[in-house]
Amino acid sequence: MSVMYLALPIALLLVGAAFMAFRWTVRSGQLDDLDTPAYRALFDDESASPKQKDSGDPF
Amino acid sequence: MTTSLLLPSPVSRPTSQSQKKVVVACTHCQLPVPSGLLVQGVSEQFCCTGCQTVSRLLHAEGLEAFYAICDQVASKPLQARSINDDFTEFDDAGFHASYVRDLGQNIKEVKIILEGIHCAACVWLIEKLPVLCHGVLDARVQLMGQQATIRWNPEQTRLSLVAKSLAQLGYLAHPATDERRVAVQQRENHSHLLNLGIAGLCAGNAMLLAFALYGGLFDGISPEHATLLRWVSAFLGIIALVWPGSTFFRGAWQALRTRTPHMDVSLSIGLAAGAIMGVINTVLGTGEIYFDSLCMLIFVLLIGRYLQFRQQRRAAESLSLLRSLTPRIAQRVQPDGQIVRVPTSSLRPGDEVEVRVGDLVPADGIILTGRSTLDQSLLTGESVGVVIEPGQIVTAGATNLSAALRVRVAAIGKSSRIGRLMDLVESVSLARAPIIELANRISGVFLYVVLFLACCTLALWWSAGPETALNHVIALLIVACPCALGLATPMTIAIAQGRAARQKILIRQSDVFERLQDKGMLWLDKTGTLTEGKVKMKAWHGNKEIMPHVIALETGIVHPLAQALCQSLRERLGEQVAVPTVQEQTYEAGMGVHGKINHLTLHVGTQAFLIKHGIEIGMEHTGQVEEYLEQGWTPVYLASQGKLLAVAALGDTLRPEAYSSLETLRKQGWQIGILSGDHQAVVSHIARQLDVPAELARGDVLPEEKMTIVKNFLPQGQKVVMVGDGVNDAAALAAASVGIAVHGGAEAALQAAPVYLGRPGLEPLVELFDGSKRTLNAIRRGLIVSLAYNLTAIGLAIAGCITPLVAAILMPISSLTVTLLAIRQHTFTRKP
Repeated sequence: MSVMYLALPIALLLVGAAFMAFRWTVRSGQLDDLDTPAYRALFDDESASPKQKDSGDPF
Repeated sequence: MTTSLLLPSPVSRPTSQSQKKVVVACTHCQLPVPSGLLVQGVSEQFCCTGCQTVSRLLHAEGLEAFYAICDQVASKPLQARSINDDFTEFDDAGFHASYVRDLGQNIKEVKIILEGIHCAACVWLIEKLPVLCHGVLDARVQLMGQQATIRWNPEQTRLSLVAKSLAQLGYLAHPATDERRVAVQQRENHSHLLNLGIAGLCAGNAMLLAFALYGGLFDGISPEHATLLRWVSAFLGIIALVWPGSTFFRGAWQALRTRTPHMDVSLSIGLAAGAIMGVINTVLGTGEIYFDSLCMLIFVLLIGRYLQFRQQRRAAESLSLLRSLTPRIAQRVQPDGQIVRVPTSSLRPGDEVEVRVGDLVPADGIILTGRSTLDQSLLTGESVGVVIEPGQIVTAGATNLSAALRVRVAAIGKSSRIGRLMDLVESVSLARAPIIELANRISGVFLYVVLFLACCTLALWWSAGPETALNHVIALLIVACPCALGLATPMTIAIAQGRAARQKILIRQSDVFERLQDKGMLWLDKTGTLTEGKVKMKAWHGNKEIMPHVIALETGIVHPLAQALCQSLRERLGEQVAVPTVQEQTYEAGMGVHGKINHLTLHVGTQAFLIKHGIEIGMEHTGQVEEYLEQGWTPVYLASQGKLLAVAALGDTLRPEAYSSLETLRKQGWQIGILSGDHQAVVSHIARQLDVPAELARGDVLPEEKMTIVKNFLPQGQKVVMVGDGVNDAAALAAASVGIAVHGGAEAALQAAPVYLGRPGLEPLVELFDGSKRTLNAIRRGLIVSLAYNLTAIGLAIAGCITPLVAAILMPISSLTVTLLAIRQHTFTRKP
């Protein structure tokens, strides 16, 4: 019996799992706003850097 | 790094050479600081107390980074508002019942629309709301749709306080209505994304299996492995076909029922034929299966559809028209004489309301007491205020300029004049005939050609046996599927729209490019499009020594002409001029002002005003006044000690590039006309300067008339483009083949028009026409390339040369070429 008969169903299961994960992201609204997060990524750096300075060792 | 940004940057404004003036920009909003508010020896300067408060607040909370972000994204903070509104309606039980969600555990959530959100820095600032406003737990902004979701603890703060903080930052909150429409769109978006996801998963995996099978063709593969791979391919293909692929079958069924040839029909035939043949061959274990191509086809086509859907959604999400034009709050006078603040929506006909200076009139009605000046530019487009008296009718949305009024409400909301006008806008926008897209038209013809060729192929190969003949026919149908054709048009349009947006030209409907290709009539609104839209002093005839006195007298008078005169004189004399103090000042609404300065009696106002006060208008200025009137300017008479000393002329300035831009447009074949609510004399004067024929320069046009002219001036079917900025243009913008709203326009105009030019002047208009021509060329190029691919493939299929390998190479290459062509288009690129 070839390994193919085992590997292919596993691959298909993985495809199914990927789909379920994707469906969850869509349903939970993570893909509703595709514009703002692009900017938000910029800000996190902006606000994080002074905080790091505050908490960090001065020397 | 940030500190340098906080220093006031001197911005030199273009002034005449005789005087050098430095305008200091407000530390917060970058607008010029009035000279009276300049504080010596301080690095931070503010244009108003609102800006000062906000700036202090941001510094106190450690949010200075806001200014750096603004600088980074090349945007400016909004001018802060000093708020004397306490937003009590946000705490109303009724409001909470309809808009607020109680999440339990002392958390409440509300979705609001924030007027003024325009850039990344706004997002940053609003999401820092928990820092600024105690009790707010979380704020999330959605840039598209200007919405924010706010969660707060009702024990620690009230929603009205949150709304007030937001208003202080410059963002005015409105409850987000139309929950149902939003929910419907959300569902649609989710189903688009899910379809795309399944199609992608199937396509990717079917491709992998196909590689194995093709590899097997060359290197050999054991029959049972081949069968397994083919069965799995069939499984994936059928999932892709019946789930995301059903979109096309439904579309085809619709097209057949309405008897309009549509791309979906040819696609469905191809998909169905391929699938049936594929399944038969899988079961029989011989011949070709087409599932890899089928999955890829579905995936690529769905990408195109999704791009289109996103553009449409972007266009639909905006503020509701009426809400943005009328005030939120009205001051109702109770029967016992007390004044209560109520939401405008709760007003009823017969109520009495007070309209204070600077407020918007909340409803249509009749003036009971008070004489004032109204800015009705919302409806008339006229920039000069109108004098009104008791007994006269006022319309909702007008701004009260000079004195408090009591108004008896006659009509509110949808039944007010502005409400009816907006209804008109919405109905005209909806009634516009859908335009069949270029690609759909081509594929309609394409369908018949392909079907005919399929019959020919069948006949041609019949002698070689039905099995071979049918194989070739299926190969033809698959290969002829306009995969690239379906992708070319939406892809090119989406990219052109993106590039145009970067040039501040927002194109909200994808068929604008097509609608701009035939030249026709181009109507321009005068105010804001051709002129600066700002009244300035144009000329002064007579004694110049009384200028400082005029400044003194006119300062503090709330009337557009008085303010314009005052500002122009200040600019002319420089900020250093010594302005005398006024001892006495009496203002007569819509007439003029008189007062005493250093024992001199001064009169400034209209001719009627001076005559009323017994001042003789001699002959020495008559010639000059006539000339001013002919130029379309408004004369203002200035007298001292009962003697007429000078006449000043106030008027609007033509944009410097107006003539050359119109010349370019005329050369392109557009017929140009002016359609304005301003006086005929003013319009005619501007038309003469711009070589617009007299019969196409229409003044004194009402909003409803504008729409009729736009609709009926040309015979049916010819292109009419309307360019305007005011609410009074909104109906005409919606009725035109293409409505173009220009910079600084009212929200209603933006909503009614599919195109918005975000830069002032006419240059972006020329750019738009130029860009849309290039975009259409790019679309055509994409169509030709994909058609060429399809025709070559069809030729090969008829000749019987299509092997699975060739088909597998041809299909993705054609899509790839079309995509590359779309990306490499030269549309809306700024000239060096």
